Amino acid sequence: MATLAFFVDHNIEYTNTGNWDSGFYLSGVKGIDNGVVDIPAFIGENGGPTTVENVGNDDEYLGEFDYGNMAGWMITVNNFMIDVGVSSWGLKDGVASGKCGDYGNTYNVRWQFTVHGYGADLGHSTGWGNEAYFQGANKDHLYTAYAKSTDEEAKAAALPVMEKLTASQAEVDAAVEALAPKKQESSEGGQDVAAVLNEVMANMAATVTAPSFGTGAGEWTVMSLARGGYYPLDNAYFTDYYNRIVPKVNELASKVSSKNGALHRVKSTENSRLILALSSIGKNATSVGDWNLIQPFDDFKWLTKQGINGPIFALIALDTQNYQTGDPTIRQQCVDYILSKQLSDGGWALSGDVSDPDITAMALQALVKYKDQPAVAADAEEAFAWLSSAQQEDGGYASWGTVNSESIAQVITACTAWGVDPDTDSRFIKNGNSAVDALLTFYDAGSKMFCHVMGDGGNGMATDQGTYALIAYNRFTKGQTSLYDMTDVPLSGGDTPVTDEMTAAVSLPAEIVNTAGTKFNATVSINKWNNDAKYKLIDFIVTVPKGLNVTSVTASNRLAGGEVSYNLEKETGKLRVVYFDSGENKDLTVSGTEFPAELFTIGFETEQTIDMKPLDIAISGMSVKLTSDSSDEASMVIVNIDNAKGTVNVVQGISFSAVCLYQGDDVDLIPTTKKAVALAVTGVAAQEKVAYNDGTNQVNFLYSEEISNKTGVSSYVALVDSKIDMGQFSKKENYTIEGTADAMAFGDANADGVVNAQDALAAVDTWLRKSEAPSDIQILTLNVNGDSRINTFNALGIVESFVNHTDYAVVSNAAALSTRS
Amino acid sequence: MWYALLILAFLFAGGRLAKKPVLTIETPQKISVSDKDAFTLDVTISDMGEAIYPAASFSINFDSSRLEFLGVEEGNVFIYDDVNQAGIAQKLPDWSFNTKQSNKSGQINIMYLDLTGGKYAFSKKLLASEDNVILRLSFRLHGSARAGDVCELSFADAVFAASDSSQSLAMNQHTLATKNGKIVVGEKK
Repeated sequence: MATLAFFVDHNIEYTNTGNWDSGFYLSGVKGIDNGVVDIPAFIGENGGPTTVENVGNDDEYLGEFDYGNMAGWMITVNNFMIDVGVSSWGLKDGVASGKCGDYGNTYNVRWQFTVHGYGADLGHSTGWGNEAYFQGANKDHLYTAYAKSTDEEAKAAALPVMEKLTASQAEVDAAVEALAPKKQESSEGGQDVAAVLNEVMANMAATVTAPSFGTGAGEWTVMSLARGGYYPLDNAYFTDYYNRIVPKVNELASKVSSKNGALHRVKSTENSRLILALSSIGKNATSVGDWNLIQPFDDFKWLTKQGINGPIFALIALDTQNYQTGDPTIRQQCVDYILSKQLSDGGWALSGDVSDPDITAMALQALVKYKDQPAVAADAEEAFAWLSSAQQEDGGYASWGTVNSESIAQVITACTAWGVDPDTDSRFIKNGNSAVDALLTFYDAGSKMFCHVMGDGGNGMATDQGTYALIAYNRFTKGQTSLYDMTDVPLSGGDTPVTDEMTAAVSLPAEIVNTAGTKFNATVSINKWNNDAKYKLIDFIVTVPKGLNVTSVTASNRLAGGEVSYNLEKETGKLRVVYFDSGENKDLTVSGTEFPAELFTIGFETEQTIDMKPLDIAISGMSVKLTSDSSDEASMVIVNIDNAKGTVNVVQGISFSAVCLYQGDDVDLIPTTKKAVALAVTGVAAQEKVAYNDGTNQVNFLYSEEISNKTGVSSYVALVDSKIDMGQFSKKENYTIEGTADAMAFGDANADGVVNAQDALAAVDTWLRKSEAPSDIQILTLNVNGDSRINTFNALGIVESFVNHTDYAVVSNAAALSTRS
Repeated sequence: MWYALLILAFLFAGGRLAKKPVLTIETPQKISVSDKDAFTLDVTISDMGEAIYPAASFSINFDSSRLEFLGVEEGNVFIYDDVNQAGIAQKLPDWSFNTKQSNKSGQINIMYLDLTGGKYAFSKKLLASEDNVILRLSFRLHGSARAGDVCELSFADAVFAASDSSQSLAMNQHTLATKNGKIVVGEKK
């Protein structure tokens, strides 16, 4: 019927036998041949006519027996040359029988004229026993692309390929690619997804504050934030996660009867998922708690208990860091298993025989390391072709009948692993929409999540997969290793006890004045603490320079369970401090999640006017103990004190020292053009006004009582132009001191003198952009964790400080940064 | 008399003087000095107002030498939860507090924060019962408590925070009144 419609629409005259309903045979078409043709030589070589011996066409119709006795009109359906009349051929039957290609719901019917061999000269073997004179390329998609294209230049370039009878498949494919719609906004270095990525990762980090073992709020989150570079790998977010994982692994693995490190009796993907997260943060999966998570992969039966998912994720997990299995054949068994499950159309399915984009893409992700194997390469080519054909006009995919973002995410992840650009490769662009474009349409800017189906407001699993797909794409555009190729992450040696890594630090003001009675503080902090360890005592020794007296040693609000005792031995300059509960021998605990955590503040005072020489203050020994039994070495942790030292410069009169607390990164509300500066000023009364003017920039610093109390030196903060060289802030000539400074308090966003829920909510609303862009002073007050952004971490920081009675990280940072070691 | 009528008119017109919510630490019956069990004090609100409050915090001073703060127990105020097919769902808020620090400092700081800025907010509609109990403070007497002791529990600060702060109920903005509570230690049972 399509042929009839074509003839009618284009007013083409034809001759036939039979009729369109039954026995139709197209015997001639009028007006398309003038009897002068150039016949390819190979036709003559196969017994057909030659150009020289051209018998010609003696009428105005091109039809049966013109140019030879085996000439006439032939029909291909989805590149299969049918051997019956067109009215006798069922389109669906042809696909179902496997004779015709499967183009989904599309059928490509082409009429071609054969001069010899009933179509053998067209590159087709026919039902009449004629073998093809050459292997003809499949030009169906070329004709379709040509018809759809509006790119006249590309069409002109494609025409010779269409006319070339013996064109190779590569020539045809290249022409198809050239005709494919081009993306408008394609730019060098790929599509910029950084803004969405930063936003979604920030939201992920803010909402999943304590990831633990599990599909949701667990391994996928950790892997995304690690592979996306949201946190450095030594960040407490990851180390705390690992510390939560170790006991969980011990618990789960001990319950499984195989006792080989399997975390579940039948679900190998539990191990695989965890290995992905651990590998991404540089933790060796061969030694987690008491178990080797790789060991159970030697059991191939266990891997296949979940069907194809098991071997797919086993390969992905094993190859993250090239883990070695005990049975060296396991990987190949997995590869062979996956290949054996490929369906005839090139795709894979979780079950059944209908290809699914998610599983097909995941299979490709698993197979990429084995692409040098010819069978893998061939099957992958078919799989990519199927994924291309399954892509919808908006660039998206449907799985189980539902158009969803996760399917697109898996395709993007697969493409990037194989070096295929999912944003520019013509196979993954439909109607000008790439797979990346399609995924971004599922992003919900309100919830900062990806939707599973369009408009659902955001979904956890969709967000996990959408996020790591964008990370995969971002890494691809930057030339980094693929999402799952984590060999760029150095592995640390498995399960290292937290206590072994305890490190102490001392914070001191950079400068003090030399006059008698000058007071300042030193703070002692520690990088880690394990409340489950049930420590009972901390002791340490501080070397105190002559001329200094110790006025106080106090424990911070984060430390609980004991009381401070101390003594300064004047002769040796040794300050000995011990913290424990002499009455009930309580466990010592450190509250909060931010580390380093301040444990103690030591108050110093100059006894008299002192020399203008630097004062070196250092911890000379520190330990944390489980018992008072000194013979039990295992009960004591020696704290690393290599960097627990600093120098205080002694100056005369007024002096300025400044440190940069942070600079914005344009991601969340703090522009890169601004940086926060903490300024310590010696020789001035508390809250005296300090005005900076270098001739170009004028800044009124705000007095910070919190930093002043921390260091014992009058301290100020300001948000300044990031171009100002920090050295300018140490020059006396740039300042005037007069009057009383305005003060600020960290966390007090509304400046009402109280930090409470209103301020925490202000941090949330500011990040959500429900309120005006923050002013300079609001940036200073809201950014309590002292990073480069205003986000929900600051809201949580306010909550944590409020309930735990602790200092903000930015205050501790100000003190720590000023220390000269 | 005209000014008296004017004042009455103001009160009936819904002026804030008439409807200012009151946050109260309810004073319990005397606690026997010999009673070493935990007991709770209800914290109630008389009228939450019509706004939604994505955050709330309370700072309450107490005598930590006589009382041991054990924690916060659930009250009858809910927050919004994810909407299900039946309509609006609700759940209990997850209050943040630190018993150790509270007992160390003698000040209980309690906060709830909805990180979505409203999706999981407090609302008057979600008060589950007429007793208006926001939460319950759990205490136990220290051995140092003596019969006749009166332990004051006083608000240092309290706020139900709305995104539009003019709609917040805040002690320091005088839009939220507070009533302190006390624990009277009685004779042995």
